[in-house]
Amino acid sequence: MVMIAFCLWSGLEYRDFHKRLLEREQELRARRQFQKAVGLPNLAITTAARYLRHYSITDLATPFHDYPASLDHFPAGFAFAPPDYSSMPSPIVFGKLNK
Amino acid sequence: MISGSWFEKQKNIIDYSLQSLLRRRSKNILILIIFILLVFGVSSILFITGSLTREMMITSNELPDITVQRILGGRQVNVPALFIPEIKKIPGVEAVETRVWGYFYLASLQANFTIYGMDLDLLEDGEYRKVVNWKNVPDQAERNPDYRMIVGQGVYELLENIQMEKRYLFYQPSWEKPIPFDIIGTFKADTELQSNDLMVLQTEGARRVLELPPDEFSDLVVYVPNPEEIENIALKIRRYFPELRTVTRAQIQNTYSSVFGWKSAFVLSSMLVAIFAFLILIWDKASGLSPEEKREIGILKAIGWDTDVVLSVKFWEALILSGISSLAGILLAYAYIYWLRAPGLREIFIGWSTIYPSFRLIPNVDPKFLLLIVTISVVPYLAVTIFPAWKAAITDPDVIIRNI
Amino acid sequence: MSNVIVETIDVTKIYNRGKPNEVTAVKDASLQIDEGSLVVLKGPSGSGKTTLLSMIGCQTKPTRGEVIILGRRISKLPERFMNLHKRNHIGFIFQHFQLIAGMSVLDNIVLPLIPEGISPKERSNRADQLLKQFNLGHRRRFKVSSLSGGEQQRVAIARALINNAGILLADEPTAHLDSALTSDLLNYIKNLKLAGHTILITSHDPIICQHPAVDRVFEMKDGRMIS
Repeated sequence: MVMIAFCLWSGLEYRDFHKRLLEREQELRARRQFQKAVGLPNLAITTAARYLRHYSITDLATPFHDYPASLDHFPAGFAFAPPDYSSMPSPIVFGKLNK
Repeated sequence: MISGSWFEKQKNIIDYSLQSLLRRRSKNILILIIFILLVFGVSSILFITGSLTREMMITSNELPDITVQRILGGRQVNVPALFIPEIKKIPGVEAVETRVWGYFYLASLQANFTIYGMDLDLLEDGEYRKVVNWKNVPDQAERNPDYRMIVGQGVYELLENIQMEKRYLFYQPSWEKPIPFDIIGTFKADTELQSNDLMVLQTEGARRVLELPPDEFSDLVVYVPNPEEIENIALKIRRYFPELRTVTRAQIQNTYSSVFGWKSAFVLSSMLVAIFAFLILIWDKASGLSPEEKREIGILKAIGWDTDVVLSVKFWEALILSGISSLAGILLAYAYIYWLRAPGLREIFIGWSTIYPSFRLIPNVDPKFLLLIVTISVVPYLAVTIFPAWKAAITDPDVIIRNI
Repeated sequence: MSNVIVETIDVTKIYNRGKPNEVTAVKDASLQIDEGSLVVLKGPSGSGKTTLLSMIGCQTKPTRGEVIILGRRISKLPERFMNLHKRNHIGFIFQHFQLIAGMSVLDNIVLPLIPEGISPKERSNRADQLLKQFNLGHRRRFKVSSLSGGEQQRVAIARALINNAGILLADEPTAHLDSALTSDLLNYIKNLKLAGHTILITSHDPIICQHPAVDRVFEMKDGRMIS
């Protein structure tokens, strides 16, 4: 009998999942439109600090900008990893400037 | 003596295993609870980070090819207009557009808004019209078109609290008097995760609020039709103008996929706790069977059960326990994240924000991941239960009986 | 001429062979048991009678020598076939009953039938017959831990009989019983013998050894047969 209840529950979950899938199509379209209109990246999950709100276009120093040797003190910083800056090469590597 | 079929035999064995589990009810319930909690914890975190990552990725192809910022003294500053024609000259660049945006902190509500300036007529007339819930503004013709705005749902709700949902008064200390902005619409709930804290102002109005000098912009975006050229052009921009910093779409997408990767403090610390707890559970099991269990195995062997039947019973016991635990853990995690919207967990992401989305996430369940969770929880448990059982099962029943 | 259905030939059992605590429990024991007879294995404790009974009951293999049950040489059989033989022909009643405490009387009795693939209904039917025979019907669903010593022993006997085994082995069955229960037990055993079972009992109780229904008494001391 436990088995039957289990199967029923799983069935309900699946139906809910299916419903979500259909709703998603519509949401996706709206989101893409919005993104094209307003080109800002990053989701509005946490608005505590600008480097958390727009972490992917933030510069290296912002999390620590309050005073020298300051640390990242916003709790949401625990959840988000800092962007991977290693892919942005330093200009020094490329020698002299060429105009 | 009549012997039954193989199916009957298996059914009997499974029945016996279930019965056996129920006999040691309190101990097994404890194991079940711990196990379920573990799987629940790990699954919840993987579900929520998976969904959030997916949400980020979904629209990332619509991002601009290159975002250009100006850095002075390690800090981001405004970009003067004179950079624009220079960048346009770079071969391969299709267009350079300007952006006016920034942040606005409302102290009385402790809310941080993102302000974005654009021509709202584009939204009204074009294909983007459907993204907004347009509101009726009386006497629209008489009002200043520069001071209009569209806000996200979260902003609207906050403004409702202070009765400013039709007209919002912006004020900076350097102004003579506050400037009222008409709220002509809100963004639809479908875009909530992107627009929740957003105020989109008419460009001129945005410039005023952000105190942006006339010839300067917050940043630039560069459109490059050939995707292969994007890196090169970004490189050239950085070379020609050392004070400019570029972020390409690929780089942004890269941060999306790694923001919740296993290196993220959040995921890593939760995994460590789970692994630790699991090891404790396993260690307790691995330290062997209880004397009653050994005695029981001895009795079963003594009355004529084959070793493999005895082992099957132990196998089914372990499989049923760990199978039910992992399935229940995963289902509970699913319900927690997608039905209840993760109370407790979402607070970690929100932090000190006062405007945050409602966390209605799209289920992003990767069957490979589910299989992995089940495998790494069920298999070690099985192994750790079967081995001591096997050692007991191959002993002569005579020896076991004597020793008890 | 009677049929010999149990025979042991110079059977020896050494425990912990090669280790410092090596002990020879049984040495060169030989006996023959006819079909349908009631035999007692007598001797003081430590004389090896329980070990010999174990070997006859296929609970352990002899270190040396041969155990032959119904014509089959047990010591040569692989475990699987030995178990099959045991299940089909031998019912063992342990000294301490060895019932599974958390289970009901019914479940304990039908335990040997589970790996045979017998359906629950069929199991129940067979058990009910035995329950009636041993006056345990009213205890059907009770946990064995709540039963008295005498009742538990009857459950142990019923379990040994569920497979319609021809040979019954009982290890010190009267050890935990008072005299009233002992005579009850002897009655049961006599009836079983009349029904055609072959019964081998170990005991050092003189009442048993001198019971009129007993056909033969073998005596053991220090691991050897002395009669």
